[in-house]
Amino acid sequence: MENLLSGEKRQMLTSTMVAELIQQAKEKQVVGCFPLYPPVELFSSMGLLPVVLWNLKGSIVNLETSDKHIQQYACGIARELAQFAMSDTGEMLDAIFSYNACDTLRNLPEIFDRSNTLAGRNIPMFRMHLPQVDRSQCNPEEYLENEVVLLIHKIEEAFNTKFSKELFYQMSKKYFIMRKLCCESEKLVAKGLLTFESFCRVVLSGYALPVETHINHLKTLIDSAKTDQCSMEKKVVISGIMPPPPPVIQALENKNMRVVANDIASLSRSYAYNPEPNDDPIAFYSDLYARRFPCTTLLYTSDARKDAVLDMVSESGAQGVIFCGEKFCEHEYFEFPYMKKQLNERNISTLFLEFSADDMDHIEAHITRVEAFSEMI
Amino acid sequence: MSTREKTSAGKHLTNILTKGYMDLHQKAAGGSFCVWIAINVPAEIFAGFENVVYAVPESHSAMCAGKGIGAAMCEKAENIGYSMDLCSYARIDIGNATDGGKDSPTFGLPKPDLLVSNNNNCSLLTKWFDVHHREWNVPHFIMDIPFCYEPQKAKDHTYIIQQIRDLIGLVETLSGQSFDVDRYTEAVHFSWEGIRQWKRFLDMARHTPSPITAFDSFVHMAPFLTQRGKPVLSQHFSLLADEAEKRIADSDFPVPNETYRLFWDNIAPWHQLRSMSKRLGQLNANIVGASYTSCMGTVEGSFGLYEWDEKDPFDYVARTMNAYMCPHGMELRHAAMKQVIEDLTIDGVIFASNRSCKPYSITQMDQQKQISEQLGVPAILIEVDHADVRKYNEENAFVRIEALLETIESRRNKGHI
Repeated sequence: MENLLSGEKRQMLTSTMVAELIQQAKEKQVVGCFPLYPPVELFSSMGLLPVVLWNLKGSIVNLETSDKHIQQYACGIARELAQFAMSDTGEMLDAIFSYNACDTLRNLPEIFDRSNTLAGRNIPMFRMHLPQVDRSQCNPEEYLENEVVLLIHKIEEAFNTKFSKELFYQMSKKYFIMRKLCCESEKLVAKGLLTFESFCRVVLSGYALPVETHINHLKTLIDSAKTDQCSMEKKVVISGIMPPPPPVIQALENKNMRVVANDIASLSRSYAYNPEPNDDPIAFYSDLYARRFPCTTLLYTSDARKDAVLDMVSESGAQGVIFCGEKFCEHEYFEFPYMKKQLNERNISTLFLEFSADDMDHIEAHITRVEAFSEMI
Repeated sequence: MSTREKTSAGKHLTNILTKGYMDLHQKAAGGSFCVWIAINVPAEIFAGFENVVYAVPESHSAMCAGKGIGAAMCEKAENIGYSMDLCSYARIDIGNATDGGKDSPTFGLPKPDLLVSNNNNCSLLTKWFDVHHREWNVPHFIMDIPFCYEPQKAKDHTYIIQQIRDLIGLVETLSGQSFDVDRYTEAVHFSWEGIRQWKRFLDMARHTPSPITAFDSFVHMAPFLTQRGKPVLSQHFSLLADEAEKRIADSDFPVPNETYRLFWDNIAPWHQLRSMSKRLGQLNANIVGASYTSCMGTVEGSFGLYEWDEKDPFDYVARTMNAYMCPHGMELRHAAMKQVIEDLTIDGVIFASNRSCKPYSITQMDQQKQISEQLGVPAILIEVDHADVRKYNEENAFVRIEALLETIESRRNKGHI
């Protein structure tokens, strides 16, 4: 790990995430987790550092390696993940975890494994199948229990470690605090006392940090909140897999739009449901996956999703919803027309923005559309 | 491939498909409980009920694309907000639903009482069926079938059987009908008989020149999707195999000067069947097999027939729920491809990178390297979309195909093949 990312490439990577990771990788073994919702508490409790591999734009130089393995009609998250895992940055990973998050992601582990093997890297690959049945029609609990137990055994075997109920409890408690702080921060953003931009930066950076560090960053963020009256008058909700790029968020806030709630997979869909600390990982994950805030990728939450989003919009008093499409993400794209219709019937304005791995050059067009939207609501 | 007159099997296909869609509409209109299913939902289950019919939107979309109306139907979905990046089967189906099947060759599909999707071919099917679930307020049952990186595990097999039983219970509740396991067993038997004949048909491609093309298999696979669990399946595939056998006896081959034997990987390019086969024939090239049609009736890692001992239909159906390519990991796909390349003496492989089917396509770039580098078989990647002709460029595709043929020729001249 000492010689990791030496030379020119290292200098090119300006991301704090990579810098943090390089530091962390000296101290802990790193498990690179596929998005969206890996069992991070479990990895942490077993002495590993789980890093959820999204929000990687700033951590990769280009998509050259990815483009040799994956077609460009895969979503940006998958392409950036592939680039990260199969190039020099992947050397930081001591293991890779994946689950059946989507059709594209499920095909990547073998590509990574083959590539890493050819490059002489022997990285253990962990995976589990997250049951996607509708719990009102089928009972997946026994299956999920078995998956969690198998995963624990594989981690124990790969890292010569032992699962501890006590450590799991301690870790689930820390993640409970972290999620609670995320919710608190979100409320401050909703009141206009924190910017959405700073909120996104801190929450997203947490995916590459030990939870203890993330908690400290969140506390600092909360302490930095303004106490005076907010000047941002227009209330919007943002929905998508990832928040928009920082320049678009800045444009949004400069135009007096306040993000009063979010339905974003890497933000509220990840922390909105906060299970109580537990020393039993089976009970913990059974509860967490069953009751997690609805997401387009959790197939069994489809019915709950409509009401969850509409309630969010209604309770926050939002005047508009901005959908941030991750280009080529079918899970999201199948839902946009329906959600748009539902919102428009309730006189809520909607704006659809589409972001892909290659389109940072077109950011001005997105900013113009955001500005126009601000004038409409 | 020369243009041939419609054969007996061709006429039989038209008859059974027409009758199948007419029966479906009539029975649904007459009060039968109608289920829409994804293609690898085990349709035999519904034969276990007195009065349940099923429709397969994917097959209907393929038919629309084959009839040349796929793009127009996609546009109907795009006009109500569905992205052009979504699967063209889904767009055709959603477009079709916007006007009650006005332009469909089958007058669309009767409205369902239940939707049954699964997520092993692709999870977007579940999202697609959710569109109808929400629009029509029809129940939606999701079969959650674990993806196979290795041959199906016992824990997954048990989980699938549990879901099949849950599905049966749901149909009983919603339809008010009782499930008869004997009828179900008989239906699985009919499908099994059919798939055996299908394999007999595909195996004819071992002969050089081949009496069949992959395009024949694309066209004739439809009954396996819409007529599962019925005796007509076996009758049809038996007729098809007999015809191919006779062609060998008569030396009547679709590409008489077959010089290049190719293999196709991905869903059929439905809008190109006629033109692509004709143009390939002019180049003395025959796509003699396709992973898309070879995987029917198989399990992971092989295109060989998965044998059933005719005992437990639940066990067999659950075991073959991972048939088709998309539910398999890259190494399993490679194992099956490797074997078929040897069995059919394949000269080159066409990987059709399909913008409408990421689960089929995403591993292809690595597979292409494996086939070329490990097996020494030239392989190309061409861009297609299975049902949206607007995303296909014939000239670009054929520039690559012709380059493939030149590579094969060059390797032959150097004594590599």
